[in-house]
Amino acid sequence: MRPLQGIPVCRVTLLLATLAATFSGGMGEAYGQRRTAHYFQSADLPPGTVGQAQLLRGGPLPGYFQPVEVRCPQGCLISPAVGPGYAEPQPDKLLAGMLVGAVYRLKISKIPLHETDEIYPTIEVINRLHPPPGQESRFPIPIEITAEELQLAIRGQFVTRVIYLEDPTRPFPLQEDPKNQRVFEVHPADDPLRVADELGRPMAILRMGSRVPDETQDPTQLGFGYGSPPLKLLAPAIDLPRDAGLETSSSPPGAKGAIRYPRLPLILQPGTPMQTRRPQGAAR
Amino acid sequence: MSYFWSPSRKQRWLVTCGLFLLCSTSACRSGMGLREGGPLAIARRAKPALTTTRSPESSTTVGDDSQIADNSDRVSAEAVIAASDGGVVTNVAFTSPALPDSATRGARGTVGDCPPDLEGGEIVYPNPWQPPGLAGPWPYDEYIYDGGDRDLPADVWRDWSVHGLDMEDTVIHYDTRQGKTVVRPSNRVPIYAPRFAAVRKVTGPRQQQIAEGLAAVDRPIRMESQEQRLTASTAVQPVQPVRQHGIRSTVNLIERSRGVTMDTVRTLQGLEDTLRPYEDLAIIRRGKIDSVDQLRLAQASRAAIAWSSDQMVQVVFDGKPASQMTGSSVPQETMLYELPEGKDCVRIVKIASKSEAQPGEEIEFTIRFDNLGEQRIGNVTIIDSLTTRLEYVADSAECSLKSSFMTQENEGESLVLRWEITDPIKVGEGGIIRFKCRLR
Repeated sequence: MRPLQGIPVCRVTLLLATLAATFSGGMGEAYGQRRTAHYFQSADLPPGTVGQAQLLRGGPLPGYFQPVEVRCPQGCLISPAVGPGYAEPQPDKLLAGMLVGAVYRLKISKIPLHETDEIYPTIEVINRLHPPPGQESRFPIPIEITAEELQLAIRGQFVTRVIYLEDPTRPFPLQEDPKNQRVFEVHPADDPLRVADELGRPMAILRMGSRVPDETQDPTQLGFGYGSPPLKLLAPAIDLPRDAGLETSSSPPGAKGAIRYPRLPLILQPGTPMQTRRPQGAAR
Repeated sequence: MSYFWSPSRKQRWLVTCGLFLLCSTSACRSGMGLREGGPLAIARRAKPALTTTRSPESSTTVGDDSQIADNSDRVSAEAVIAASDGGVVTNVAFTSPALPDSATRGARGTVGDCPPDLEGGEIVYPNPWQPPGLAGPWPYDEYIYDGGDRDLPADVWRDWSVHGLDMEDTVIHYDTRQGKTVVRPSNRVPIYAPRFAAVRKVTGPRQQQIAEGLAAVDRPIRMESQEQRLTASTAVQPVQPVRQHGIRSTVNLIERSRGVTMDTVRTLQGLEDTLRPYEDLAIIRRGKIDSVDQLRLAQASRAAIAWSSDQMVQVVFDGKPASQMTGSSVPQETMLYELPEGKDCVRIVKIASKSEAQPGEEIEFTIRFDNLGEQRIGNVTIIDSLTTRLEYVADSAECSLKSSFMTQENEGESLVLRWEITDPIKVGEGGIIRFKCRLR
């Protein structure tokens, strides 16, 4: 007697079909873990291309000044392009609101050990944040330009830095150093925009090379400064001692080390008697 | 009589197809078809099973109120964890802090007013724009979360091991007089804390020359121009004034100067034996929801709407479930279990001291739990699995009830905080837990 004798063929077929459906589901899961996204843009495109494509996707991007904080080594001066020239240089740090999709040209001068050189990087903001109302300038996109990158640019190298927002479901399990931004180096053949998209959400692209303004170019053409798009210079957020906490401060009021809040500037000249004005008819 | 199967051609074809699918699936599952992220993927460890330190023999009770045991005779944590290969548990020396008496005394929430799970609910966030149909807060990648029960629901098995405890989860589990082990999650607390990093690429003309192979080009072509997209910066309006009317200069100058505003800022320098400013709410102080505090609760926990009492089912039939009797009479056996009366209910609420924070800042969390049921509960355990970006500040855990505190590493390079309340909690009582975390 054959082992499967008497079992209808339809039952065998149904069993095999069930097995095939079960295991093909697992196989589909395995294949589903592959990322097969096709990227239309790359960081090697001309400045402004990625940002303009982002504007076409819709959403609250047009017209929003995304705060960006550009940090340089101590001693450097940062000047954003405004009109045909450059704005007043800011030492070490620049906090400004930039439009998504526009390209901003900066001038970095007074570089330590390279005081005679100037670097002209561009910044392209390609996405925005959605902080709580009133907290916009407290959560800017940090763009750090290191001394190493400045020296690479002076030597003629081209540095592309894509700043991305970390995915909170896959964070890097180390303490963040506010003074040194964590950076991953990729191969020159790789696309940093694509790597940044796999690690989080790309927010801005910094391009920095040895390009200098053409002296023979008509300054009214504004080609080197990408038209100097509108820029909103922001005052740095007041760094209140939030970490101190009310319960940890045990010093009495007025003592050294007590929490001091910024006060209004004194408008009265020294020696001017201070007068108390009261409305007419008010009881004294 | 043949001992072998002599299949037909169709059966051979079907068996071949089945074996092919089986082999290909096995190879695929063994790693051939998987791709573990890119070259920069963060390696993660296997998630250990968190095991409780409760003793099953001393804790599982049915029917007798006196059998709700305390935690005094549970087995050692190291022995249980070693047996289950779940990781290292650190017992932390822990003393009950000086919390205010009002935290555990006075009027409590309504007994029997058991809220639904706190992780749902429609939450409205004051963002300028949000895609319709998506749950807030939006976008998700700018927030970190703590609390709730993410992904798989947390569960306590018969061997007292906790399963399904993901990162961010905050749950409380306890034993009832009926012998059940109930797990309830807290609400979910979002904190706005974006963190950035960068990806860098450095290229140079020398490498570009090698890649392009310029030596093989007969006629080198130099780049003449580069396409640039310019944004309009000025607009010329060809309209000129037609005429001018009389221009008079200002004759009188009236100076209106307002008085300079002077404020005296007197900051609070210290707090002792009282609640923190962010947690001085009726739900934390007395365990009772006050409509005045709902707005502050919405900011602190972002989930106040989910458990506000005026949006719950108002009528509860105790012990009288809805049923329908039909006329069909069949032979059957009826099992009657005589269980103690009264249902169990525990509410756990979690709030944070800050709704937004930057890396390096400390955030203080407060957990309030209350027994709103109609019976005592025992073996009360509160577990909080911190997310990767939250680092527990050592020696910052506090609990208003007598308890033991221990920590254990989780799969996210952070800690699982665990409080085991020693004594059973009576009806209408509760407690407060505080701890601090530093944002990574």
